[in-house]
Amino acid sequence: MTGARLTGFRFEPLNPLHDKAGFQCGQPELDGYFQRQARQDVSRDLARVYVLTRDGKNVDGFYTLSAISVDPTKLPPQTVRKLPNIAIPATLLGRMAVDKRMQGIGLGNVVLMNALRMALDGSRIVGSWAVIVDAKPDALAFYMKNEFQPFPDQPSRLFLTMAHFAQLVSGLSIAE
Amino acid sequence: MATHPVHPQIESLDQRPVSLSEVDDIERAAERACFTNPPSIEPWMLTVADAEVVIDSWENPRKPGAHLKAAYAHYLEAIGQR
Repeated sequence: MTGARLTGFRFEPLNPLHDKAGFQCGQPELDGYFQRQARQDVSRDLARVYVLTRDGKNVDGFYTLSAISVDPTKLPPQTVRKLPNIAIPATLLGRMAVDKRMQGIGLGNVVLMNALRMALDGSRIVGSWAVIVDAKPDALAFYMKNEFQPFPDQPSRLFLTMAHFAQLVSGLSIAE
Repeated sequence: MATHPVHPQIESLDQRPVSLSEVDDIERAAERACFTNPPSIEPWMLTVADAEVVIDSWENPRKPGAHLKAAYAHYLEAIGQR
């Protein structure tokens, strides 16, 4: 995280005014998804896509949230003890990216925090135990620094429980 | 020191050149990570970035969740809610 002050940003659900073609994070798979697939996923209710923008047009970042279930036997033993032996509902942070022109100033954290906030708010309407992410190797440290824990047998898959996130941001939040 | 061994996985998983002093830190962090990571994660699976997280938490101990709390405060500021 940098010490720079970041202000003037807002998050919006992906809409036709957003300049999808102008977004480039540097990873062709993510760029291609955002430019060609994201709207379809939204229209088919497969994902919700949220965009970081300053002007409602140019896209500085985006992320996707979807429903997922977790096999409790795949979780760490100390975590499993607190859960029933059924598929555990969770929220998948499927894709997340920051535009190349805006990388290196801490916006990744801003995007992640909004994703966690939205997931937590959503979990208060439809139950969700945790946020799940499948991290690329170079992003593992980023998520672990933000309190995510790896699945024991699948170290690239990580989770952060809603309860832990809510506890950490209580008192900091805008609307509890 | 010039011949200090670096495990090939560390070299291959990180694009950035690794300084010799950093190699020492990474090895110390990797040893320590054996005790903190799940058993399925071998210490040599750590990337340099992973190792830096371990080193940071080792040399600059913070209260649990301090990084996330700081990130959340920056987030609130970025969206004009703080």
